[in-house]
Amino acid sequence: MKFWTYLLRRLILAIPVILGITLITFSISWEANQGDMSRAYISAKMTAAQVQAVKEAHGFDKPFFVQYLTYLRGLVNGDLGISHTQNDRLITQVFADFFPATLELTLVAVVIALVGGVFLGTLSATQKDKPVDHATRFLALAGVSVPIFWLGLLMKFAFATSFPQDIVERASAVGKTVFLFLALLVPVGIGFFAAEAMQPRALSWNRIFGRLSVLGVVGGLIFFFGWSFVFAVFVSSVIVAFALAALVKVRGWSRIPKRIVWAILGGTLLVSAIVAFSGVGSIVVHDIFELVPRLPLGGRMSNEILNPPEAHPSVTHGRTGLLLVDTALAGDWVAFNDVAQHLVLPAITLGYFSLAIIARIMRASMLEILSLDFVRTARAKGIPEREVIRRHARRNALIPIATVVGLTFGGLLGGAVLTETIFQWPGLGRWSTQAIGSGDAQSIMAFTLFVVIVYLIANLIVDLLYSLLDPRVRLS
Amino acid sequence: MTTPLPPTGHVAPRQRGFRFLWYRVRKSPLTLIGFGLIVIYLLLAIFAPILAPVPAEQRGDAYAPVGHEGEDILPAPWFTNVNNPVACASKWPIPVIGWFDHSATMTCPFGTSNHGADIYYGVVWGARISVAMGVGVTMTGVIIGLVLGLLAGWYGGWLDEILLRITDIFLSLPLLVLAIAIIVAFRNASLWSVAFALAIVWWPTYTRLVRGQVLVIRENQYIEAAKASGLPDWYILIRHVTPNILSPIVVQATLDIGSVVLTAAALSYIGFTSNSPLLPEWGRLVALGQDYIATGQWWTVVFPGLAIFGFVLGFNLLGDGLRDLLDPRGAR
Repeated sequence: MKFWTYLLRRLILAIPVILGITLITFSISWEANQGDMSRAYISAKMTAAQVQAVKEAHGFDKPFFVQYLTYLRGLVNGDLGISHTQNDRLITQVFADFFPATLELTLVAVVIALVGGVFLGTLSATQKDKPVDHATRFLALAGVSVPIFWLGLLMKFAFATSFPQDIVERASAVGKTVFLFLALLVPVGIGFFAAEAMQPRALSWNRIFGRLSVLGVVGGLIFFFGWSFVFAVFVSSVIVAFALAALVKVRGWSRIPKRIVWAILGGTLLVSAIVAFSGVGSIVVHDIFELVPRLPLGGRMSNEILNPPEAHPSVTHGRTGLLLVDTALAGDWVAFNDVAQHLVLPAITLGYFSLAIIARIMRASMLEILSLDFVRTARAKGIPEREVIRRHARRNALIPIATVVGLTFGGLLGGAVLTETIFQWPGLGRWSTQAIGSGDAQSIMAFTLFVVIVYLIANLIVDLLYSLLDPRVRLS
Repeated sequence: MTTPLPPTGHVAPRQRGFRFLWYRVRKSPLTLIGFGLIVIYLLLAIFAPILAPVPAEQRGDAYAPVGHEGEDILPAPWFTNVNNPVACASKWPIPVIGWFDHSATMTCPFGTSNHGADIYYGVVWGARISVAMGVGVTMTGVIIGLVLGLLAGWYGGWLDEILLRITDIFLSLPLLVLAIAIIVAFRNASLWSVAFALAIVWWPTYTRLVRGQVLVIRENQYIEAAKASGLPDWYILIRHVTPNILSPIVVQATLDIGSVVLTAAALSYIGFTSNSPLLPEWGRLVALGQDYIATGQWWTVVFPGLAIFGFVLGFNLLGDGLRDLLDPRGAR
């Protein structure tokens, strides 16, 4: 009973908010149309009499508040006006077309954010002040600082476009350099080893093994990199070895002047750098570039899936409009795979911000719980640490996350505007940017209203869930 | 148990004031990094004319944007290599080791866009816009929020009720979407309309924050004492209440400077600041470069975005650090 009174109270409280928002959106729309709401209904070809007729038919010649009330009545009846950007179709129809795409994207993003955030937050809290914690905290901080549109573009660049040839070349040049330095370590190491081996000392098993291991390393290098490379390294090593050994013989280990050592090393480095390098690094980097998966640039599915149109009916005539669900229900795994691939990049881009927020709050909440007495009791009982965290701590730490998910929903819908535009996702967000581009105020206001209502509903659901999750919270 | 004495000559500063704050900030590396980032951006903003000088002939009418208010307060300098587009056209000329095939290294370190615009100029001058936008919008929000929140929290009554309802509406909206709606009403894409829209959506946060704090502070005995000694309300509010509620506001404002710039960049990316490619706003630069990323000109997008990222990261780091210092219980 209490539940229903609470629900009723919340719904009643939502009414002034929604009214206020409709007032805001309507006045903005009014302002954007310079007080003439008929603009969307009028085309340039109409005569003055026709314009007047349209105005009278829709009541556009009435004062502001009368029109506002008309607008409200329209809203109650599900009439949001027409969308200029979508060939003057009814906005409610446009919604019906675009909503499933946005819903699917947002839901997948929420799942990514929840799973990732909870996992990272727990990890961070249990490893407090260890490297993992620092890395996770940075990841979370980066998530709230990174511009979502930039992230989307970078994602596209890294995983969707094919790498431009000159980038691969340049990266190969970097790889070359890195490998160069790695390779230069080899003669230096061998040189020092040889110098050490030349010390007048009794032969021991240790030294024999040492030499054998050098042989092994050389063999390995020949096997991997080819003769010319290893030969060059070997030559330079021998030079270093003899030079060092001679110095050691003459002056003893500790008395070699540092700059002579550096001169010898530098000389060898240069020689081997010039001689040795035959493109190993660039080959490796090329291979790494080959390994990065290539995902679709944008959209919900490939053209091959839609062509011919009757090949995958689950995509074109699905029941829910959520393509993942539709294709899975129909058992059409080819289409499912395609749709899933299209979802990866936009969903990660969209979900990262929420993931970061959830990870931060999860960490704080987890740290608080871990310091409580019942956790200590659980540990004292001898329950393994894994179980303590999984069953005692994390379950309780999850409660505040429910609120956060509700609150980030608004951010997700806002972010969807950017993400959908970047990934050409045929959803509400992209429609709204198109509307912005062509100054279609009616559509933008409808979108705003929609976002607000979704946001309010999401938060109501979350508050109700909250009381289920945490019996201590009273509904009031 | 004995605690070890601090080494001689080591005196912890008094437990209040900026000296103490600085003493604590020094101990936390992340906060310091944030502080350092912010200092770098401030320097960029202040010394932009020195770091990226605009030749006199380019300051003239030829590159002065037309019809967009907000731009005329700023020079539009970042087409600096129009005179010499070949110098580093569509190249990223920072040499990696072993790759010295480019001569234009010194002229455009961040490369140039397809228009021949120098990304480095855009990034440097963009710092000015971002600092002004972030600080300006946040300060406006703080001032409005402070005044309204003090009044609502102190006097209560119908004012409080109305403000609560209004802020409820604003706080139940995603800021980005609301800001979009407001800018559309201006029918005018410019920096000013973006700043104005952001200021409109940002004040409710502070109003709620201040109001809540005032309700707590109001119950203190020193306020009672001040009232009893017959001080006027405005004096108590300014002299006794405001200083005691500043900490959470400072924290929130620091974090919000970053968020404001992030949101402004998003709005700018959508295309709300200007249609002119001359405006060096970071979000705008990303938008201008985005079409070329597919052809491999990644620097047109990466560097302006990196500038936004660093700016926001700096303020988030500092804000987080300040929260731990000033407001330990408020840490989320």
